[in-house]
Amino acid sequence: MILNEKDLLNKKYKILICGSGPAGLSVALELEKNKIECLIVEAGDEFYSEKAQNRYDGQIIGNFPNNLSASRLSQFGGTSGHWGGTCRTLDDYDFKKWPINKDDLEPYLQESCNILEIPNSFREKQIAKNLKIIEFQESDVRFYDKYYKHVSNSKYIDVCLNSIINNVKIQNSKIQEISIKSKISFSIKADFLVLACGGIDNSRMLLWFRENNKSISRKLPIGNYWMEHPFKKIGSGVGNFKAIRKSFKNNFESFENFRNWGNFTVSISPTQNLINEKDILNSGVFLTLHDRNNDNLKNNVKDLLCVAPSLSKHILDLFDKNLLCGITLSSSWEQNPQLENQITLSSSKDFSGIPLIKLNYQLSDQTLRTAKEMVNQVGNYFIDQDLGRLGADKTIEESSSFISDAGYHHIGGTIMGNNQNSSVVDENLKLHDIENLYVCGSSVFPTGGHANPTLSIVQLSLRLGEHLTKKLKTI
Amino acid sequence: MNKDNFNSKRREFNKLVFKYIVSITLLNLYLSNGERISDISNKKRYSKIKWVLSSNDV
Ligand SMILES: Cc1cc2nc3c(=O)[nH]c(=O)nc-3n(C[C@H](O)[C@H](O)[C@H](O)COP(=O)(O)OP(=O)(O)OC[C@H]3O[C@@H](n4cnc5c(N)ncnc54)[C@H](O)[C@@H]3O)c2cc1C
Repeated sequence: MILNEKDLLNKKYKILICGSGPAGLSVALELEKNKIECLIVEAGDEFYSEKAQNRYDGQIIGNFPNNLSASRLSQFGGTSGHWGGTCRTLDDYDFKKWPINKDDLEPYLQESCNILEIPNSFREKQIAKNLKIIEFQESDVRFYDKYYKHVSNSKYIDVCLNSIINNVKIQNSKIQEISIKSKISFSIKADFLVLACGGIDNSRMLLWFRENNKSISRKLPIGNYWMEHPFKKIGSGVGNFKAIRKSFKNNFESFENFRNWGNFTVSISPTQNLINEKDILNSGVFLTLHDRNNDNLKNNVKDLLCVAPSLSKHILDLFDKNLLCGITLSSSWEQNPQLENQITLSSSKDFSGIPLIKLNYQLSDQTLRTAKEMVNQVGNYFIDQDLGRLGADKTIEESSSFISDAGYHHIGGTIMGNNQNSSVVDENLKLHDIENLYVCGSSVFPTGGHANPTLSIVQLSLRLGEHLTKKLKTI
Repeated sequence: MNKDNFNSKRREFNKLVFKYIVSITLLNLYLSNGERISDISNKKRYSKIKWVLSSNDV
């Protein structure tokens, strides 16, 4: 049901969820399935509002390429209102630093795919000693479109829009009261509070709660190890269109849901063996083929013939047979967790009194080395299979000037782990110090892999919903 | 080689040469800006891409 702030006065909920994005709504859906009432408090309106969105402004120190406000959305359904919808599960070796592993999320995969309306199919096939091709799925789900009506009619999910959770009162390691700033300011009680404010604001809220409550330990690395997925065109090439199509089609005969940009796009990833051997990060490289009318092909041919004149005859031959194509290599890849990449609170505040954030962000050498190594590996695969020639763009070769775009995937800051000095939440996503405060979203990922995060966020949220259901039975 | 045979070989050769010239012209036209494919190879211009090449390519 959609409620207004006056309906909430003197009410007590079992579970209060802060944020109605994919994370918050998925927790609520799982609770609803188990017939448990919850309240979602959402800072935004039903649709976009400048007032709510302005809370997302902030200050950047370093090389973060995206605008902090444009990279998320404050409204019912959260950032799913303008997400791209690309989905893939994390690889099992992405969980190396996590306190849980891929099998722990597996029971929630089918239901997560149902929520996102995608087939539960994320196949991969090794094509060389060091490389595999991988499958993505594309979701068209916007959580507002799919769930607004549903929650409006729900007996178990209440939602209050245009309302901001702006503080908590903690006593005896438990949250006793939650302050909300709406048209009026008031407090509410709940047995459990779940923060699902997105990959930046989960850190922001916890930092702010800590400023106001001594019982949240200074030792918790809140805001630290923040990550993105660098996303960039990393290389170019020239090749035999038919041979490339055939080579990858053969491997992917029945893989229909390829990531499909341009004429034909293949997604390639390093094997675990390559990651370990070369000490690189996980990565997805996308090859897009361009036809002969595309300037990419002309420029790439010119460039290649400068350095490899003996290839002229071969290129001429392909051109003659109308088989020559240009190739663009783009990549979305993993960033390693670094202590210095962190979210802190700024001295300016939003209209609800919560400080805006400061983001410190740099890319590491390992991140750049990963991109170079992948061009090298895929380039050698092209030589071995006689598919064409690939090369790295000068932008990734000249380290000093390297700045990458980013995929709008906000990871880390409230990372999961068993040790209170090096993590913020435990394996059940509970804040180490506090008995009834949980955090959900990609902010809890200790490492981010290369796959887009939302499918894993939904899996983790369903798992949290199930955990809270069990917890409530023990009270 | 008799005359017919010679003529047919010559025709085949002429066809090949013609095809080669047309291809070169087309590729040169395609590359535009009055650049010729031979110029490109010889000029060793500054390349914007760090190519992954085999030892036979250079
Ligand atoms: C342009 C773009 C493209 C993307 N493409 C993809 C993609 O292809 N694949 C993919 O997997 N991911 C993609 N993402 C990322 C994806 O959108 C996020 O992973 C996902 O939305 C995160 O869900 P969330 O619920 O954790 O946070 P959000 O969706 O950001 O929701 C958080 C909600 O919490 C509310 N909130 C915050 N603070 C408070 C408070 N104090 N009180 C009350 N409410 C509060 C906010 O208003 C917001 O509605 C993309 C993102 C962008 C911006």
